[in-house]
Amino acid sequence: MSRPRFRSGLFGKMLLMVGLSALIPLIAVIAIATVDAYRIVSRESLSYAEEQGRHFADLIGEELTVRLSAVRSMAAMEESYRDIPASVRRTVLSAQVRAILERNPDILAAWSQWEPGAIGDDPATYRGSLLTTSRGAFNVLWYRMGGKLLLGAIGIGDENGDFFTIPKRRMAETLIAPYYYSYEGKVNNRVLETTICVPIIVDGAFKGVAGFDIALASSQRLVSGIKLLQHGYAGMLANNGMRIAHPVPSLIGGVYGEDLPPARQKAILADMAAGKTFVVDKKDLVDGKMSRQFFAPLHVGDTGDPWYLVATVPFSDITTAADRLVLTLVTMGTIAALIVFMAIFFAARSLSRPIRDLMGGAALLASGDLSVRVTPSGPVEIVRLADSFNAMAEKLAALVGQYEVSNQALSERNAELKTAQDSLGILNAELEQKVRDRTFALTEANASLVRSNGSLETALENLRTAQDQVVASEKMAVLGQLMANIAHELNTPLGAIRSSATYLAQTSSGNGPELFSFIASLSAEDLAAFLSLTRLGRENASSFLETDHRRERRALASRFRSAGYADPEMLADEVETIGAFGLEDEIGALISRGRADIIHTAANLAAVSRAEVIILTAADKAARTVSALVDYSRSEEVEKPQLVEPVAEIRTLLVLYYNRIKTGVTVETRFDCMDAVWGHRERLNQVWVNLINNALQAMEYRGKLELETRRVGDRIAISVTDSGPGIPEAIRSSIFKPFFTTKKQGEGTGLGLDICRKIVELHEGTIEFESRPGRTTFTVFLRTAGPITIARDHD
Amino acid sequence: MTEQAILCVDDEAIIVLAIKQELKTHFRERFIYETALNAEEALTIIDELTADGVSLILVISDWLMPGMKGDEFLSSVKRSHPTVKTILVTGHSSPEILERMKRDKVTNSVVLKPWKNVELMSTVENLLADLESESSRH
Repeated sequence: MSRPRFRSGLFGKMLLMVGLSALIPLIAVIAIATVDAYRIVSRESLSYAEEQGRHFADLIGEELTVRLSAVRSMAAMEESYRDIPASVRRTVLSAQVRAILERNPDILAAWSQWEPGAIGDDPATYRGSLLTTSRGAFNVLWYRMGGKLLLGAIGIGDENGDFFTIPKRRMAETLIAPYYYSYEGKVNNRVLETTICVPIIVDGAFKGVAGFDIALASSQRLVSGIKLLQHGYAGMLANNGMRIAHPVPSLIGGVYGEDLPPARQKAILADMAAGKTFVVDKKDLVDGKMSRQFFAPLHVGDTGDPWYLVATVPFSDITTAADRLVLTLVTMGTIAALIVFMAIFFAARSLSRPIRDLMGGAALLASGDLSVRVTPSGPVEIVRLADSFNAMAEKLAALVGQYEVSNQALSERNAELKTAQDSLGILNAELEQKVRDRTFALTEANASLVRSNGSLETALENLRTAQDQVVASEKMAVLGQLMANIAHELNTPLGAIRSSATYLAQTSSGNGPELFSFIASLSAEDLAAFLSLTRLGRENASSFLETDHRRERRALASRFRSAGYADPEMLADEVETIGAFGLEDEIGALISRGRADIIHTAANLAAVSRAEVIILTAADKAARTVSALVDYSRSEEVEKPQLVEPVAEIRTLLVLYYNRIKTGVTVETRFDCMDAVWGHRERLNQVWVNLINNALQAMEYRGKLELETRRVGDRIAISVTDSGPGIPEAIRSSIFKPFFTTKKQGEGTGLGLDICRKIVELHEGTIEFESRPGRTTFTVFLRTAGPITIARDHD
Repeated sequence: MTEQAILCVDDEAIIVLAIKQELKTHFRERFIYETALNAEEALTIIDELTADGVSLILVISDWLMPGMKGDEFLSSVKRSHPTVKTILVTGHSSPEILERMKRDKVTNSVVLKPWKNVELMSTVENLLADLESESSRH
């Protein structure tokens, strides 16, 4: 089971919670029990050791007391020395000591020592003899050696030693501190001994001391068998701290505490001297392990300073016992915990399994499987929950069924919205891209505009400085163009003149004599008709340039063809040449008389007249051109002014020059002011011609030409208006400048309006214009000379 | 035989009438002679001639005219009447303009003002001969 499931699952949580709530107290119990066990076991072990120590101390004390009592009985025997005859007293007393030694095989020696003369023996008498002290006192000692009892003297000069003086002083039984004694002076026969002394007191008076010498090896035997716990042991200390029994023999004879600091050693010895029961924790001399030592005092009779039994128990022995107890506790606790855990596991599983089934069902339900049902199992609450779940799934399925249709529609709508949103996003992105592109392009364009603006300004500046220089040479160039125009203006009438002159030459050279003979051949009637036609032809010749009878001619030709005349086209043309449209009948009569030659000849003569008119007109035109050129070149000259009527002049100009415009242009005149002005007729005519030409060209010879005059204060305003597209705003300020022209190559010199202005200003007048699409008006204001009509002399 | 017409166009009446007189004198009744003072009028006449079943064979036109210029006018006529022959008459003696007209083939011939009668008539004769040879080939 992985950690996450353990954490998150119900089953895992149950296990965790219940397990923890069971395990924590269990562990606490084990911990407390362990501590208690240590304490109890330690206490028990120690008290056991202490008890054992006391026990053995009592045993050893008893054993020593048994010896003491033997000494006491010996001393009592000795006290009754008075019952023994004085002469054998020393011998009997010695025999008694021997008998005591014989009965107590465990003791090394038995002895008694007396005050000098204490048994009624004169010291002087016995001084120097056997069994007598240097002071002459009785002194007997029996000792055991090689299984035999031997008699010897006490002390070898150590009479009045501790064994005598201490009991005498204390008047009490005394245990002498251990000592080594070498029997018969043999060093290797050295024995650690102690002596039990009992004073011999008769009638309250000290007489001497009886005692046993005991080998302390017996004490060793006593304690060496003692075992405390596993590795504990016992030892014995004498009242002076000397070690008199110990499992390690080499340590016997040493003083306790030799491995401790002197102060502590001294304190321990003091406690011993005081006869206390106490405990010392220290490292053991034998194995260096920490150990506890119980000091139990050994009391032997009334022998004063107690000896001690020391029970040594290593701590490890104590803890081993405790450890074993703890191990048992932990093992049992673990088994108990496992049992508890298993119980919880199965209980939790039996609870969680139906819940997991429910969860699976809920997950399936959540994922959309509305047909899912769970099998109720487990505790009654879970069963009810499962029933509720199934009921809920039932209702949910019904509910979902109801909403499925609308849900479908909603999701479709949603998809549409998503699509729309997507395309909107795309559009938005494209729009942003476009805005960026456009912004970039605008920035670029702006930058380039700024650049070109700079260069334009520079160019304009250069242009201004260059303009003045250019004007002069431009004037010459324009003059060249003007000359080309003038050449054209002259070549046209010259062409007409040459053509007509050629015709005249041909006609006159061939027709002269023939004409005369023709006339001579005519009858009077025919001559009248011929002369009539000839006169008509001459009269009409003056106006033939201004009228076109093409349609009449065509109609006539058609009629002539119908009438079956020969060459109807030529005949109609001849009628036109003569201008005899009204004389159709007469013509018909001539033809029917066979005199078509009369018509031919009259037409020829009319053609001659026409040629003459053409030549004259062309010559006039050429002369005018030359005159205009002269006028232009002398435009600064001031001639003597005369009275001029602008309205009359304009009418004449229309008649002379503008018959041609009748095809495409409607001319409207409105002359409200007929005043005359002082000025130069030809020059002013140049103004009107220029303005009218400009107007016609501006509307390309189609539209309406308006000519007006009116009185404005003391001035006459003469206006020329066209219905053309108007003057573009950009060039309005330039149109009066010399050489400015909007016309095609060959149509204008660019001097027209400049000349007009100069002429008008020469007459102290002004010229202005207003223009909009469809209506452009140039107006000349001149000072009026009043409505004076004068004779015109321009013919 | 179909009637044939020669059309003269110039904004100066003296020119067209003088040329018409020359043509009449030279060719007499062989053709119908028409005159017009501007391109618009000329086009109207051409339409009328066509309607009357008259065949236009030659146009003699000024170059510098108000409104439609001669070269434009001739191009327009050539489009509607591909077989027609043209003569451009101009008072401009600018060599580059003449070069351009020849190069662009806007007209069959160019005659300069002031022209000589012989020069003009021989030009017309040559073009009529070309026309005849062309029509005989067809």
